[in-house]
Amino acid sequence: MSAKVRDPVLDEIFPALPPRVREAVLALPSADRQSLLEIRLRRGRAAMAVTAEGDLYLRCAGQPVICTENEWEAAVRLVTQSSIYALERELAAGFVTLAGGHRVGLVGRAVLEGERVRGQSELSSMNYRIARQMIGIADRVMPYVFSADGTRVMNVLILSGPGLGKTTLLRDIARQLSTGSGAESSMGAAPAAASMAGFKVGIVDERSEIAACSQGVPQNELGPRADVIDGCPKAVGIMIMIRTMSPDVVITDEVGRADDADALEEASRCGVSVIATAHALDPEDAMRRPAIRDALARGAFDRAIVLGRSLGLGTCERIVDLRSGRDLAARPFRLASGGETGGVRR
Amino acid sequence: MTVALRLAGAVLTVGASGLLGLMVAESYRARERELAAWITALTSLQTEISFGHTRLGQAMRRAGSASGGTPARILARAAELLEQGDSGGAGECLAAALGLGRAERGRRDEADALLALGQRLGASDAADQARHIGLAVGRLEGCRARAADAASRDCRVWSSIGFLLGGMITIALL
Repeated sequence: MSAKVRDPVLDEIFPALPPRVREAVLALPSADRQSLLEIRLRRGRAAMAVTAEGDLYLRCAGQPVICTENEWEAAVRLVTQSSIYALERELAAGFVTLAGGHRVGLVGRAVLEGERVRGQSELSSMNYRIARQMIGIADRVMPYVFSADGTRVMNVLILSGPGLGKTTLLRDIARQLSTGSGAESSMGAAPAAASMAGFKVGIVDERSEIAACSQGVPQNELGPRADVIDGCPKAVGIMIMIRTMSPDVVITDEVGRADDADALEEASRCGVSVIATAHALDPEDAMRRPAIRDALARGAFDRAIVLGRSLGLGTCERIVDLRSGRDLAARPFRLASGGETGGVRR
Repeated sequence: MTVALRLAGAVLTVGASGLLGLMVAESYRARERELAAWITALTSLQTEISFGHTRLGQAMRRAGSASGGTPARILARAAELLEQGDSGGAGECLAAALGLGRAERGRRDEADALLALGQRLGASDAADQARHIGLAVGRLEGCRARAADAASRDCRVWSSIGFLLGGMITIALL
């Protein structure tokens, strides 16, 4: 249905884009296409692309691509695969996950049932967030994930604003913990040495962004010892994971609800380390969110990794020991630069 | 020799005419069977959507497999078009699979019911989908009842008319 563009990541996104937007993305300069972070469609307005360098209008034959009603209907149909009934929960939450772990955020008119959002109608904006697994992006923070003697995985909270790489970093930490040192990959061939030190990693992937499971198979590389519970609310998923899969480490994304703190505390009581992300600019900002404040007060986390963009996208601004409040990293550093990332998956 | 030829001609005329009558009678029964298959397919589609929350393309294929016959072929084709993504919504894909252009829509009641359903398929929540499918099934039940009436009334007539007409032509020619 769409021309192949040699970029496997864009090939995954293209089936969910209306034809003219596809054409416009193909018409982008190669550098912009490769650094594409988001594609934003707004009903009746010009389509935009967000790259690492900034925003730009998508153009087809020199003209901005305006999302007409036909185009908009096609976009909704392609994203939902003409199956809105199968995505009620996702629409209520405001996002749909595509094959490959790419997430399409959707907003429109909320349909309420009491206080609860039951769904959305009259959709007005879509944000295609392009997920690119960065193998090795966690290399420089891995020493801080372990205790001083290197034997214990610390409880780590990764903090940043949206779109600054929390999930990308979390995914690579999960992969490295699961793989252990030296093993290259778990996908396809058996790891180089099965007895190599690695941790049983339980991934509670409420939004299907970490593992991007399709038909039960993670689409992202997560190492040989990773188990994934997909699409399950975090608090419930953490408990199921602990009771059923006896993980050494639980990995989860975007904590912040009231019941998350209880589940995180229960995990630490069970001797299971937790690595999670949350929306906050730094530990002080995180303390303003009741659920995270509660979790931090209960000692659910030992360290915080703060991401920002002072040196560009993918900057680790601070690594904070939450027990002492001490900064463990002397200054901000890039998680990886250029070729250091090892490239995208596949 | 001439008598034998005339006799053979008479047998052929009566046989051919009778066969035509039987074919017309069979077409009445076939329509009733096809409507029953569509009702089975739509009931299965409702289950896939309401309980399985299966994506529409896959749900159409499964519903077709459950019913067999013409609906299986048409639903499989509609699912294929839908999954290609460039053929429009479920309504357009179903219309294309049914082989009906816009001008021909509504020619038959069942096609009209299916196309009306196609316009709503996949476009709302599961409860709403169940209501729309229920409406289409209701319309098809009506078509089936009328087809069953027509079949019981006309099948026997057409079965006899063919042979009678053949006999009359034979007598006239003799």
